[in-house]
Amino acid sequence: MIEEYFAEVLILVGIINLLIIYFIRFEVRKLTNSLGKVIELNKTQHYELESFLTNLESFLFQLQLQDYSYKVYFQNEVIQERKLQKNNIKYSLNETVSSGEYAVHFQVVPLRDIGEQKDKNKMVFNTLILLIHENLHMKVEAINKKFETISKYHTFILHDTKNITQFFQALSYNIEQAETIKEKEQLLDYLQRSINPLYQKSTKLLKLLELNCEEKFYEDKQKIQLEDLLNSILKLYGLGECVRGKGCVIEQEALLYVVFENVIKNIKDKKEKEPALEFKIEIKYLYEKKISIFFEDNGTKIQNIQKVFEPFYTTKKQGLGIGMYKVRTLLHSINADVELKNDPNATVIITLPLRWF
Amino acid sequence: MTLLLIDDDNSLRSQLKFSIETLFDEVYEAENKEDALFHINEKSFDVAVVDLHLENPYDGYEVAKTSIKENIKTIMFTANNNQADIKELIKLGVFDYLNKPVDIPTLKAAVRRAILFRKNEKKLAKDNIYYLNHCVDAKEGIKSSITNIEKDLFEKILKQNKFNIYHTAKSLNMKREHIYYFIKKYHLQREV
Repeated sequence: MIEEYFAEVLILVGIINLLIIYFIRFEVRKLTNSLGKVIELNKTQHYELESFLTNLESFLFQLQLQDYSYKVYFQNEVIQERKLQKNNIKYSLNETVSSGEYAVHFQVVPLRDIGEQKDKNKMVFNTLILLIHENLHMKVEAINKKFETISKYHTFILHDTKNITQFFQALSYNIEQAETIKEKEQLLDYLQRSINPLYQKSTKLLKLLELNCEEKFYEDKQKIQLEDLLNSILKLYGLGECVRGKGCVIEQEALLYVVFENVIKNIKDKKEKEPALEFKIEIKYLYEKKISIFFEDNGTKIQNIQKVFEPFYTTKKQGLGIGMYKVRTLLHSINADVELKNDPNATVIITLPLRWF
Repeated sequence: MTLLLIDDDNSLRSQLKFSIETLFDEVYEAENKEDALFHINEKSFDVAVVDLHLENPYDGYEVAKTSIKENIKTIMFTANNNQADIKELIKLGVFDYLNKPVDIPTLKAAVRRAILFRKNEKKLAKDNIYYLNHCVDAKEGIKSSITNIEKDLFEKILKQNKFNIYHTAKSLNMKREHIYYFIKKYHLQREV
């Protein structure tokens, strides 16, 4: 009787064990499948950090997470973020990863935090952090590579500029020297063969020169009448003089010229796409020894406002994504700043410190 | 007189060719290192005008190294104005160094000078007198310098005599056994 009883208990224990094993296997498979899908998502998003973080939302339930939040920083400023739906969270996992001038603070709130679920949560969190780290690293690598290419281009610029100058020197000499019809015909033949490569070279050179974002300005600071400088650039771009207010700063003129030119060029490009666009430029003195220049237009709002200052970010088809990055870098070098607003209109605000002799 | 004009800029090269081709019997062009080395290997040139920056920034240096070895009067014609590079090229034995942009009469004067030197060197060679272009590092000692000059002279005469042992021995006033000894010593081989 007792033996029969033990046998039944043993069978029951065996069945329970089997059920536990199957349950664990099921759970592990479910989790690994979900993680596999997240890895696949990262691949389909071309390892782009921003889109990966945004699209993670649709995997919350599969990863057994209640919520998640993140903040992407560039030069210590938040350029993208997602907040938690609820604030009173008891348990969460969070970590900050950084690479180059970028950093990401990532936080997850698991559905449950009891028993073996804690280990699963850690596994999910560590995998997500690993993917974020990899994406961030790849982003920084890509940017560094682009900068390396630019610096390489700088050496070519010098070479190509001198070659073009040399070409024209040789050409003018040859035109003077060619006397007979045969010589003139031969020169013409050489010239015809030269035109295409010369045109390509000049176009490439001009494009590369636009990339020159590490300009150094060594000129002395001088008194600059802002409205005059702005009006002269507006005139150059055929936009008409429309600066309101007056202002005077002590600064390097060439630097301010590059900054204003970039902003005005953007307005001109926008006006070409939106002919009805109207804009105004206003100079205002602020408290704390500062002066601001407001470039405001009634056209479409600035897209992805936080990302505009990132290098190589552009919304233009032919754009290089270097203009606004250059503007901010230059302004920071003189303790000035640039800010973007979409309310009520698209506005670029440049704030300069006031200095006296 | 033959000229090899090496520049990666096609438009500039054609204008330079037009400017100086009347000074030569034949003008060959090359736009990259490979083309230039191929021509140098295939044909004997008297003067080479070489751009330092070809497809890659220092390809011209490699070309100059070979052209100088082949007794070609090598004029560097480059946009590069780096003092360290100029020093290296002079050490290598370039005939002249012109920094772009230069006016064409200056280039022509340099080319004319190179032609004059080359013509007279050829005349001297007929009298068994050779012009050796050597840069010596005194720190390495006299023996090392002598060895380098000896190797250079021997190689030059051997090549001129197209590896003919009898003629080389006659030019150097040596026995044939000694010629074999030097060939072995300096690991010289007839180029195929």
